[in-house]
Amino acid sequence: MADRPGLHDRRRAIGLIGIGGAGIVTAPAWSQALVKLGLPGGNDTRATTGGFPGKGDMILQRARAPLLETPMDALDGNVFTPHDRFFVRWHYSDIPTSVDVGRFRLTVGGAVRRRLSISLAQLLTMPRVEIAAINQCSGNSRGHFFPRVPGAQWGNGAIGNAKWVGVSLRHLLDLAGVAPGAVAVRVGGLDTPPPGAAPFEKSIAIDHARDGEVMVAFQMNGTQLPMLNGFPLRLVVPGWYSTYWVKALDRIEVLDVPDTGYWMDKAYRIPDTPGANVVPGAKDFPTVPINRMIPRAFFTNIADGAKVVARSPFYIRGLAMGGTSAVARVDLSMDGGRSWHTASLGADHGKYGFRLWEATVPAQSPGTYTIAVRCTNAAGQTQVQQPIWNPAGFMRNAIESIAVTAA
Amino acid sequence: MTGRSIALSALALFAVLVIGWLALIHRIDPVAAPPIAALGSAVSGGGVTLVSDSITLPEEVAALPDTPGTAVITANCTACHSPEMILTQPQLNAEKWQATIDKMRGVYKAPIAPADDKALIAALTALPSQAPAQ
Repeated sequence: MADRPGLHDRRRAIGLIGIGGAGIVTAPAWSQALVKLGLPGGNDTRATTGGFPGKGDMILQRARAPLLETPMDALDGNVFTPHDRFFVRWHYSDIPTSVDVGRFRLTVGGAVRRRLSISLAQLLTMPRVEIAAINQCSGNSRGHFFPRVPGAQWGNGAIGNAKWVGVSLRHLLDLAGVAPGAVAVRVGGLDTPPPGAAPFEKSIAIDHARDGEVMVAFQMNGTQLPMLNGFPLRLVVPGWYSTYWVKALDRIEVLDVPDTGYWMDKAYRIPDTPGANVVPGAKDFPTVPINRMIPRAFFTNIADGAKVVARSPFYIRGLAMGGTSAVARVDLSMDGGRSWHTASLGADHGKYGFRLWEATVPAQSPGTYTIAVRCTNAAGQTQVQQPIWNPAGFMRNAIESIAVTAA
Repeated sequence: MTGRSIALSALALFAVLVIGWLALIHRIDPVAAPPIAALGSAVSGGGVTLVSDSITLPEEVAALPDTPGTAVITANCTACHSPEMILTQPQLNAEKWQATIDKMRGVYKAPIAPADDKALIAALTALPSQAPAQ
C-alpha cells in the first residue's frame, strides 16, 4: 500500500484518519418503511418490503418481475451479503417458483462432441471450485445518472458479495468435449419470455468460459441459493457484471458463430469509449457488450446528511471492490479531493470480493463537511471524480461522497 | 395372515389412498396442476444437500393513481410488469416514452396497438410521478 510522497506528513499534521472505532453516528434515514434514495431530480421515494419469500427487508423497486434492492444497512459490516438481503433482479415476469431437485437437469449442447444432461446429484459428485465474488447489476446506481435515464431506477444497492461453490464451466465443457471452431458459450435459465420475445440468454467467449473461474454454482455462502437468486444453479462470472450470471441456469450451449441474440447484440451494451462515457444525449456511437467491473467504494454505516457530535471523533466504514483486480487501497478526502488519506482495510477474501474499509475521523468543529471515498485496484484503475453518462445508465463508478454535519 | 399378505394388503390400501387423494385434489382444483416440487425431496453428494424448493410470490400492492389515463396504461403496460416500473421512472418527455413503447412492442412483443400510442403517452406524461421535482 504505497502512500504517495508527503501523504503521511500531511495526515499526521491534520490527524484525519486513525484506526478503530470511537464516535457516534446518528441513526441513518434508511431505518424507515419508506426510503429516499437521494436521486437527482426527485421521484426517489421507495417502499421497503419484507414480503418476498426468503427475503428480509428490501427496497421495492418493482414487484413483478421482482426488482429488490439491498438497503445499505444490510451491507454494513458484512463483507458477505446475507442471503435474505441479497438483491434480486429478473427481466421477465414468468420466473421459476418451484424446482424439484430430483427432476432438474442441466444440459450442455451445441458445438460439442457429446450432448450432456446432468442431474444435480451428478453435479454434486464433480470436482468443486470456490470463489468469493461480487455480483453487481450493470445498471447499479442508474438512478444517480444525470441527466436521468429510463430503466430500473436503482440506488447503490443492486450489489452483493457471496462465497460461491460449484463446478467450473471448464469441467463441464471438457466433459462434453468442445468441438473445433467454438467461439462462445451461451447460457439460459428457467425464466420464460412473453410469447414471441427472446429468451434471456447471455454468452461469453470460449476462452473466458474455459478460464477455470467461471462456474456453475450450487451454493452461496454455504447453503443452497434462494429461489429468487437463481436456485438451483447460477452461472458465476467473477469480476463481470451480473447480466452474465444467469439464474436458474438450465442450459449451456457452445456456439461456433458469434451470439446474435437480442440480449448480447442489442441489450446490455456500453459505448466503446474510455469509461463507457459519452456526452449526455449522444445516440450514435459504437458499442460493445458490457463486461468487466471497475473499482467502487461505498459508505455503509453513515448516509448523506448524517449528523455527528462536534469535537468528537467518529467512526466510518464501508465496502470497496476492485473489479477484476484486487482492492489495493481505499482513500478518503475531506477537501474535495485535493488530499487523500488511506483507510484501513479488513480481511482479504480474494480479489473479486468486497473488502471492508474503515477509518476514524478526528473531532471536527461545528459545521458541514463532505467526505469522499475512493478505491484503487491493483491494476491502478480507480474511480472518476466526474460521473460518466451513457443512455442505458451502466457502469457508474463515480467517487461517492456524503455531507456530514457536526453539531 | 402371513407377513407377505399383510404387506400386500398394506400396499393395496396405500395405493387406494393415493389414488383417492389424487382424485380428490383433482376434483377440488382441476386447474391447479403446476409442477410443484416434491416436498422435502433432496439430493446429496460430497457433503452438500440440495432440497427442492417452492415459493409463492406476494400479492402486488402498488396501484396506478386514479387518473383519466389509468385505463389505457392498465390495458397496455401492466400485463407484463407491475406499476412500480412506470411510477419510479424519472421525468421523461414524450419522445422518451415513445421510445419505451417502441421497445416494449418491438422487443418484448407487448400487444400495444399503435393507435393507442398518443393516448398512452398523454396518460404516462400526466402521471403525478412525472411532475417536475418540487
